[in-house]
Amino acid sequence: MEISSSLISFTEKISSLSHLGEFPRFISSSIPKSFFSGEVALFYESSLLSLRRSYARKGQVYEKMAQNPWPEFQNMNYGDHTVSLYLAREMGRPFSKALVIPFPETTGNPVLFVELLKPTEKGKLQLQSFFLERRDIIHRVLQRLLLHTGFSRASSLWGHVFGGWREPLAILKNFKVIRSNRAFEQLALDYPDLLSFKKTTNFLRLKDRVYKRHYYPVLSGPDKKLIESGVLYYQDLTDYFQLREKLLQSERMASLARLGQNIAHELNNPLTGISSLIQALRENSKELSFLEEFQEMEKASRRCQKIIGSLLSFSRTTETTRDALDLNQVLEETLPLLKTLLARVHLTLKTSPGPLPVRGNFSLLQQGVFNIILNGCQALKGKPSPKMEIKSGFSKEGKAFISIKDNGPGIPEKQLEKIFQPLWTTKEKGEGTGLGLSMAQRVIKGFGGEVSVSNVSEGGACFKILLPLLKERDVSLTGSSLKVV
Amino acid sequence: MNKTLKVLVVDDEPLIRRAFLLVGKSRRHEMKEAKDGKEALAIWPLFDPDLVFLDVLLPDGNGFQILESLPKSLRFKCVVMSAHDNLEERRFKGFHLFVRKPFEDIFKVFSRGEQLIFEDISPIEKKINTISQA
Repeated sequence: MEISSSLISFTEKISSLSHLGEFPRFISSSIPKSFFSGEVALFYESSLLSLRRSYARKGQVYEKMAQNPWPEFQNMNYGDHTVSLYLAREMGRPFSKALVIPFPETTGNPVLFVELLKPTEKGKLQLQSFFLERRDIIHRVLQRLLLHTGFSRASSLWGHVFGGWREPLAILKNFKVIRSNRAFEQLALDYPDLLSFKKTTNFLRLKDRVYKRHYYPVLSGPDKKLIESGVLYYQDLTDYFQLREKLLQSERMASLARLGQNIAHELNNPLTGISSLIQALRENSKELSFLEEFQEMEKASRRCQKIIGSLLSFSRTTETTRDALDLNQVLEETLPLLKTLLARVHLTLKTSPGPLPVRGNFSLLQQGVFNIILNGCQALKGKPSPKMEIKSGFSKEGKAFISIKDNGPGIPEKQLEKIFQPLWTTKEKGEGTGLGLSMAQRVIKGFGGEVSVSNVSEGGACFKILLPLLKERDVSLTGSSLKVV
Repeated sequence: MNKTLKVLVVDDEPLIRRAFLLVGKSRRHEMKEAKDGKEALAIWPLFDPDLVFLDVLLPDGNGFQILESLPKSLRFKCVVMSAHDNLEERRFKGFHLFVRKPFEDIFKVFSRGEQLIFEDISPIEKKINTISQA
């Protein structure tokens, strides 16, 4: 059989194609002009990342999810209406009759479509025989190009995934790093001896993150027993541990609250009994000389009841109302309660002129503020010239704030964190339960705010309460809650 | 208060029972006590009290359940006492007054109970009368 020179030249040129995108244009340019062929499009299945269809067209490779189901091209013929319809939909323009050349034996099931601008029987036959001659070489080259595309796409994807992976990853050979991602490189910069395989523990605390180190060896060699290479992976467990700690903490708080409630209720009964019996005895006792003793006993049991009461309100987990209220008013109504304690303190009060609208529960917030001021007063006990400065207004971050500063001894650095923990107290026995500050923080946090404490340079401590401001449209005046100025 | 009443106190706390008994006896009432539901149900129909002070939380059940198990023929005024603040109790009926524990003044509680008899207050259907600062 005579092999035409055009076929030889075609074979040479197509073999030098290196990129799938070049393929359609090349085919298009090889077809003699007299055949009046139009666009050449290559469709194939790409299995990467579940992207199913892609096509090369006019020198560009398009990755596209095929809009329509992949028809059985093998059974289609030139002139088949479904083909034109399919191509029109996919290519976004009306398509003339096209020749369908499938390559089912190649991975990816590529199908070549060649549009015929002059759809005559003769033209069709010409084109068919053109491609029949070249089918073999096209098939081989397509296979190569598709493999290469698939491979380089996979490789690039792998590279992206590996490189960009948030957690440190490294590939080791002979225990030396041959490839690593950015996260690993960053870590290695800070910790040069990262690779020392001390088998003490696989949990590492690096910077402020906690990592668990994993090593996945790759077995090679004749019987898969040789470990030369492997993948080193540092799993970032910081968030997990933080979350776990938070959960444990809230569980602890919940159990404490439950315990508090149980104890309170258990104690209430006998206490009621004691105080009731004392009252009854007092009335009915013939011995008037014991009157004072009865009074003291009653006072003592009342003190117990008060403690139980505050324990209960601390542990209360029921829903409370959230009304619109004025934080300044809370402050105003709390100060009188501390009149005696504040009597000997030189108090400077600087409140904002207008209302400070926030959302919360009046009495709960009152209790919180009360407890913080009370704490300040107690810190000033025995201080020669005690001073307290209470300010309220709008903070830099646009929140409502109350700050309570005293010139007491301040709070030791180590205790600054613990001060809000329940039952943490440096007070004398009988002076308080150590629940006040914890309760205050809990209440304020419950309304979206925060309480913080810091030591003041001149000596003393400063408590700061922050609460989110109520926006205009949130305001719904409920009775006397919001004072209108 | 001149009339002698038959008063029953149901509470698992012995001191509370003692206190009520002391007060009641000093006012010349006929007092009886019960320490749990079982005892209460045994004594109540026989004693047929005019006034009952009933604790809600008893070792063998709920005070309200006791109210429901009584023979319907009995006539009495009932003061229910509770240490808890759950609002569930408000669902129940058959009692005339709800008192929260701990009570500040047992004499007031007792007097309010006596008042129920002499003003013939009807049982609580929906609203609750509470003495929170008794």
